[in-house]
Amino acid sequence: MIVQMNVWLWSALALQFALIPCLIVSFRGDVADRLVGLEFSSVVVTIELLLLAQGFNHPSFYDLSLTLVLLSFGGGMVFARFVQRWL
Amino acid sequence: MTFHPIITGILLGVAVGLTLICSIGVLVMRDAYQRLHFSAPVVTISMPLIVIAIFLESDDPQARIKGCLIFVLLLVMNSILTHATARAFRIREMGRFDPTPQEKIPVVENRGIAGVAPFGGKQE
Amino acid sequence: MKITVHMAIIALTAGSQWVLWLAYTDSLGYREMCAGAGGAAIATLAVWIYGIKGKIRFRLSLRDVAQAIYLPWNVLVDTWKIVRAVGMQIFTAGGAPSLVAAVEFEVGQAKPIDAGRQALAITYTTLTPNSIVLGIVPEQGLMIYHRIVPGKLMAATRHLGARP
Repeated sequence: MIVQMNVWLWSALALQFALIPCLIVSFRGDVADRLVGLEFSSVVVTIELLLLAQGFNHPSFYDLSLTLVLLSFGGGMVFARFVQRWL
Repeated sequence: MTFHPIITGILLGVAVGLTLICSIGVLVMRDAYQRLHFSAPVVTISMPLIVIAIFLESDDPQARIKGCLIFVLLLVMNSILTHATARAFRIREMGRFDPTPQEKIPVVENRGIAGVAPFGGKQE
Repeated sequence: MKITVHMAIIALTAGSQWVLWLAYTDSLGYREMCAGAGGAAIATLAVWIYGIKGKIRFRLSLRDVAQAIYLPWNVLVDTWKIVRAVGMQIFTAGGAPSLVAAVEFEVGQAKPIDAGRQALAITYTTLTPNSIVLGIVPEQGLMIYHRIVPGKLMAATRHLGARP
């Protein structure tokens, strides 16, 4: 499948750079900072998947983004409880 | 000449630009509480701009409905998750969630409880 | 009367879940309708069980939900504030401010409508970029929140119970 670069795919490429600060914070910070880095990167990747779905013109790929929203919420809540009680 | 591609480009450019600025904010801020604030602009401004761009570019009702659904879910869930995370940080740091006698929060001080300012910041 | 309202809520939940599934799949085929009906039934059952067994009950009033009308402008203003704070953090020696504050909050009585109002106050205030609600302390009647840039609480939070 060959897809020409369009504004959506260029936006997705540019958005990749937003993950770099999240990675730095998650690698270098303390426990709280790492959780914040993880949650922010979940939001960025959700938007990334949305842009890619539209860029490749596959509406069924939106399901990935939707699934990530739901799962990252659940995962974030679990991590927050872990941080509160045990870390 | 249609303006759709131009408007779509502008919307996506603003959305991505704001997200990049917020990610820099996550990196440069001092403490976890400050960093937590930066997901809100991405969810409340960048995301609806992208959904509007989807409406402009795509006639597919599935894409539009799912885009709106993702936006609404992200909006509500991000707010709840941010609150829960901040609360967890506070309980982890302070050992309790409610104001402690060690904190100099003016409203609490007016009721006769004095203390030390937390987080190295000023009190309102 | 109470049973009728309860059944209306159950029917509305089931119907809305089913319609949402059909909109999600963008199809009115027989299989999608059956799958949607099954999924809606499970979701409605979960809602019904929570209604019976759940410890926290809350009810939302239209007036409280309508406070969302203050959100768009406050989101834009707060976004500008925290973008400026990023600039301050990078380019100034003092860096960006960061503070924890508390404000008196009308907790009300332990009724579902008051729980709903508190939940909306937390959600709406945390949605704006400059504020994160750390929580509401019912015993002391306080709402504790964190801010990057100092300022007044938005009107929606005040209408939902904050008393600055």
